[in-house]
Amino acid sequence: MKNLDKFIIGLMLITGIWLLMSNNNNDNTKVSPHELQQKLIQRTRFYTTEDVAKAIISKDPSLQLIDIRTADEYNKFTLKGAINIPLKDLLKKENLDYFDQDVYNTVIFSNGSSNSDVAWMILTRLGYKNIYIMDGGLNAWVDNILRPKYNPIVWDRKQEDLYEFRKGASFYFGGGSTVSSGNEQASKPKKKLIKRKKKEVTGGCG
Amino acid sequence: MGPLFPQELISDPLNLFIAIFIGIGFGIGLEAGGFTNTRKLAGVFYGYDFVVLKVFFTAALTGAIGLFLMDSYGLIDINLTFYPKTFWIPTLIAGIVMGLGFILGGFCPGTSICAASTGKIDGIAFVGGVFIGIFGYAFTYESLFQNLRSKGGLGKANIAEKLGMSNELFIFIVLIIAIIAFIVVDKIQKRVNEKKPVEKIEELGL
Repeated sequence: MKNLDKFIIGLMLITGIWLLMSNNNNDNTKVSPHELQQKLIQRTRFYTTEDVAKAIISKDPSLQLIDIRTADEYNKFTLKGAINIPLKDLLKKENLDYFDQDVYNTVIFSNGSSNSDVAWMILTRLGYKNIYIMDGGLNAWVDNILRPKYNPIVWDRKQEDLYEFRKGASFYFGGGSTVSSGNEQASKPKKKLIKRKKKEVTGGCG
Repeated sequence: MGPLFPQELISDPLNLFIAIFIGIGFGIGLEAGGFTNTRKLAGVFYGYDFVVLKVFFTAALTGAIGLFLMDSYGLIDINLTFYPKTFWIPTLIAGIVMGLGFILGGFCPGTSICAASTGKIDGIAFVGGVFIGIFGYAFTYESLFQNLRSKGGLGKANIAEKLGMSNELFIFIVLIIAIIAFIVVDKIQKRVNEKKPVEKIEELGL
């Protein structure tokens, strides 16, 4: 074997061991501020109210709705199938299990967007995948889905289609009335959790 | 920070411009390594020259170790790099075709273009064959290949994940296998060349 061969093999062994070592002090479960900023700038973390409505109507099995308002508010009104996890209890172990999985697309909502954004940031920082926010929260839900308005200045095909959809959705969700019986929701058993097996820290490749 | 192109940190023309220089470097490397000679590639199958195997193993491991090291130090986000989906049936068939082409022609696509540009007639003929293959595939795609193409889809297959180990550990195991392979093929090469010496390419003056 030539000296060059030995040198290359030695070099590769050293870098290989370096790689193994770097794995140990690299915590991939956390998201760096850099990545967090990138994700915050992007609009991909939002589900529009229409997306949520479509998913509920079509009974999308991958949708998991999380209501982060207080239990009182949840009992008064919430979305169909939503699970109540108040923001202050977000970091409880039994609640985190709802987010620490990669089966469902978790959509968080509150009254507006800001509380959901806080929850989204905490969960993303924890490294959980498929966490989304309902854009505008329940206020937007009421405005867009339950009581849709249509008063365009100029006729716009897109706007009209959107309005048609909203009108249909409004009918489906019993529009006009914002009161849906929360008790009915509360009595509904929580979705069975599919817990993700805790894996060892894998590399960057998720 | 990286990868540069998928995050639109560099523009499309600049990306192509950089690619030209990388391509030139690759071509010079292939020519300097003697890869434009068919005997070099065919040598792997006859057992008198294993440089090709060593080069490709080294290249793959350098790429893997380098990327994951950069990933663990935050220089590149490995999740944003291109990760093709695996379709094992067409891959297997194409692998057989490619292997046969290696033995029969003595070139792989890259080296054939290098050889053609250095004026080797067999290289030019091989490139002609490559183009016949490309057009042949394109014109018979719908009738012959459309169904085959999506057979045996495995999604984004990651062996390390399937085996439940970290990517870093998996790369290290491949590295050990590569080093063992280097030593074994060196022994085979020595034995074959002692029994029936093949003139070195340099000595033939090709």
